[in-house]
Amino acid sequence: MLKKTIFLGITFLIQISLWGQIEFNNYKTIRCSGTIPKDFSQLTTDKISEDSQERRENLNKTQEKIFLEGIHYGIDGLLHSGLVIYGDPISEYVENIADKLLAKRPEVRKKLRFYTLKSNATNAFSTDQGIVFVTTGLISQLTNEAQLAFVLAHEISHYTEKHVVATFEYKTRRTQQDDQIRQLSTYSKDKEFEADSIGIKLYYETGYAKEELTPAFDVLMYSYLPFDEIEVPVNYFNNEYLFVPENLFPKKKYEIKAIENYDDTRSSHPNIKKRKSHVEESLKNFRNWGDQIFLLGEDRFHYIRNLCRFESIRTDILDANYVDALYSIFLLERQFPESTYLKKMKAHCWLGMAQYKHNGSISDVVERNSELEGEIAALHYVIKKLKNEALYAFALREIVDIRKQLPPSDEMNEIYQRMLHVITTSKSFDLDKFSDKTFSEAAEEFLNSKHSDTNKVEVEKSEKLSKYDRIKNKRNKTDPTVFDSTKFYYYCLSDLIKDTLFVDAFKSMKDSISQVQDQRDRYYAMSYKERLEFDEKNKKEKTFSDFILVEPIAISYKKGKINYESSEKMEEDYRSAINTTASYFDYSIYNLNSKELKSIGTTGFNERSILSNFLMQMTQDTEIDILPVDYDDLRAIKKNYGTGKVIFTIVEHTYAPRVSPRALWFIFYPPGFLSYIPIPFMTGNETELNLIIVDVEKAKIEESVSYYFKEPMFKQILEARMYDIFKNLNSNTNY
Amino acid sequence: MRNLIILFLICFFQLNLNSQTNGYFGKKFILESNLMFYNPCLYNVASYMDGSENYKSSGDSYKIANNRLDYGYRLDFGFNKRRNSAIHLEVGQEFFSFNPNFKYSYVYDGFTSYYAEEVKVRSLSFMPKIEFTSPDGLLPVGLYNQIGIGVNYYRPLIKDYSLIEYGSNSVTKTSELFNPEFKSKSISFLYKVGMRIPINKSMLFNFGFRYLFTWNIDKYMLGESYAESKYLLSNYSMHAMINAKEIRKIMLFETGITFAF
Repeated sequence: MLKKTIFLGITFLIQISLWGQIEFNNYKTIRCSGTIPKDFSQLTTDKISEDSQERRENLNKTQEKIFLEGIHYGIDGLLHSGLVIYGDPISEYVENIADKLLAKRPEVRKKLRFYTLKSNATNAFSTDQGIVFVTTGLISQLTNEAQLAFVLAHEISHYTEKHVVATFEYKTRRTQQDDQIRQLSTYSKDKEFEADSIGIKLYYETGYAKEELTPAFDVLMYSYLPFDEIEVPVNYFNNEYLFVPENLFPKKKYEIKAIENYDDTRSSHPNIKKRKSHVEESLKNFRNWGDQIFLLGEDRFHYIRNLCRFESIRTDILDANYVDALYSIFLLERQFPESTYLKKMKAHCWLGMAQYKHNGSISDVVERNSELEGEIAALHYVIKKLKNEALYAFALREIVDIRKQLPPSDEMNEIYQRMLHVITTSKSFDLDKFSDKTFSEAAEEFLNSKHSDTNKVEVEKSEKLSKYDRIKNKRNKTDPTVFDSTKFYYYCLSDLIKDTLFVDAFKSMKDSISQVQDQRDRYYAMSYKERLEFDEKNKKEKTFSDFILVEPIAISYKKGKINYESSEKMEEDYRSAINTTASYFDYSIYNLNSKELKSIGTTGFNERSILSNFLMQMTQDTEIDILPVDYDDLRAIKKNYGTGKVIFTIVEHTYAPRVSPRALWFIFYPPGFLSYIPIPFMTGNETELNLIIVDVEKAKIEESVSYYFKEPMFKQILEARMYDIFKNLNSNTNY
Repeated sequence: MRNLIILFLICFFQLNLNSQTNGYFGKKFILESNLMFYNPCLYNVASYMDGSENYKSSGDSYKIANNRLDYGYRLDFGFNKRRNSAIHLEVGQEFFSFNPNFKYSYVYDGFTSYYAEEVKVRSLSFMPKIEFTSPDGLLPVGLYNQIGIGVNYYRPLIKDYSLIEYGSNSVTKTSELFNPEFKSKSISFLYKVGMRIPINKSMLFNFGFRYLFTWNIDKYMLGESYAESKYLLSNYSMHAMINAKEIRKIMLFETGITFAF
């Protein structure tokens, strides 16, 4: 019996470890699972009315209204941002740690809910509603479960001590999500010390080891660095075809500048040194400490941390932090060298960097020299140093190699095609300049030619050449004497130069791009009347029939601040206007919005999150034809709904009549002032409507509409606008 | 006038009806009917400063009261040429009155001085207009601006007008206050700012403010003198007084319904 049990146990363990390994090799971003928690599905207005039953003694009615609106709309915005997940392994793990921490306080435990926030910020924060958010960035930085337990204990203390209500800023209503998160995780120094003290008690009672407490603050101090500090070897990029000289890497190490005892007089948080001292003082209050570091098991912690680290790559790519993602890939490749996911993400990074370089905005992707710290600095340094054609060649090389290594897939084909598009549209990329020899072959040939007899003859000949012939010779790549080791990238595509398939594909794309460019130039040279006639002749075939509508956003401002009630009504009107108008054109609309979560379920919520993340990725730089990080998931959505056309839209409205200071001139003609007065009131409406239709299969924006108009916000006006948009969808030409 | 209408018709038929989709739910034509009100406060103030009072007939008697409200109605036919511009033709009638004693103190028949009761006038106007809005506008919906040049034809109301003898309060009636054949015309320059709010798919509620600069262009401006007239108010005086009234319009409030088709 015992033998059988041991055998079963071993088999189970092997299966678990194998499963884990396979999971990371074919990793897919974590999604929500199970039933939708009430926090996600309940309407904000209902939450506010429920919450207003509980009287907050310290607040007057106005403050209470501002507080409830602030926290509920703010948190609901975050919950529906597509970045928060529930029922996933990470959230479950965090819940399990909370179970341990609050084993003796079931009444508190019952009130708390824990969700994972996909963000690379090292953060955790609790809300007055009893929600604790833990970021994937935080877990990926931790070294053990005990540290996470302390962070959770600290956040639970903020909740139990009602710190949110005490530090809420009643005078400012945050509009940006980052601001809201910052506000929710910012307390006064006293509150931080208090949360540390109470947190330590919880931590102590659970039996965790005290030795892990102060290192938890190191996590905080170095949280701006990647989740590990390992040197990138100078031969990291080298392979059969690609050779990168050492001098491309920085000669010096970039020191880590973080200090414990920074000036915290202007900060809401006490500095790390003070917090460490305070914790060390608090430790003295407790005797007989436990020695647990992993109550839920070390393997599980490492598994969860790896999930978070894999997620951090995806988050970095979403945020266009390609170099950071590349460094994380480098770190994880050591543990998962065969991971398909890491390889694909690496291809995404190289494509993204090439596209940013092509767009002239590479500085958005790499850090400034003054900001470089630690080992990751080497990667930033190298990428920054690469000239356009060098970076394109690097990217193409990497993408081609990864494509060869992986089984054929649409995603890799798309990455390859887009990379081809970058090089074919780039003025600085000339395929003729690239050598059909590898760097080592060319170098060897060069050295041989230096020492050969023929070289002597060549040298004699060369002595007799004119300045201009020498220049021409130097520029002739076929001449081995012009081997230039600084142009090492000219030798990294030697196999592709000889590959007729590649060369043909390159030429054919270049030709078709130049044809399109010519057609476009001709179109813009036409007169208005000619364009109308051209448009009429070349009307697009009807390509739109069904749409997925992702959460139309409506924001109404009053005196510069968001008016939540009016925004909610406007959002309802807008949604209804889109649906009603679409029916005039026989378009079917599939609504994926937070108000209908009960009907769309967790599957719909996941799809909505994927689409929202796609939008987030696209908006990093709208001029770049970015490839979605969740490429396969988006295609699955198309398959599910039978349409890949997704509408994202936002409408913002404010009414702010502005009396011009020039009206003072009416002092010389007072009746003129009477005439002038209605004008600012009539023209005080300002509305901005933005709508894009994205084809998720092509991962491209199909249509984009941006209107700024001075109209009040009525449902009928929104309907008229939507009618106009839908009507014009099928009448536009390709230009 | 005829030239203006011809010009308008030429513009109208030269439009490219197949241009980019525009209008309200794709409807490019509009018919608008508006009521118009204004308070001639500036005129009243000027009248007060002039020291001349406005007399209103009240049966066999009279009362002194300022005119509080002038009014009119307008019919407007428009075509949305583009999303943010349109052309309109407007026809309207206005009803107002002026104080015949204003600026000219009193009416004199060669023997006795009188104060005359206010003279009611009806004007008929035609005005081609250009409507425009912000580049992203979607006419006829929402905020719009209009500019236009039009002509107005004036006819005073013919009836027996009351005269109040200067120094006594006795009221007499006369049919010879002004020439019953009198008519006049003026040219108007318009700027209007308005708003149309949809009610349903073919009807919109419209409101706005009109600013008019009206200038008398009639031949009488140069013609007949007071002494030559057999009426208490010469044609020249009538013109001048209508002009005085028109030029003091500060702004007119207008509201109505717009039909899109």
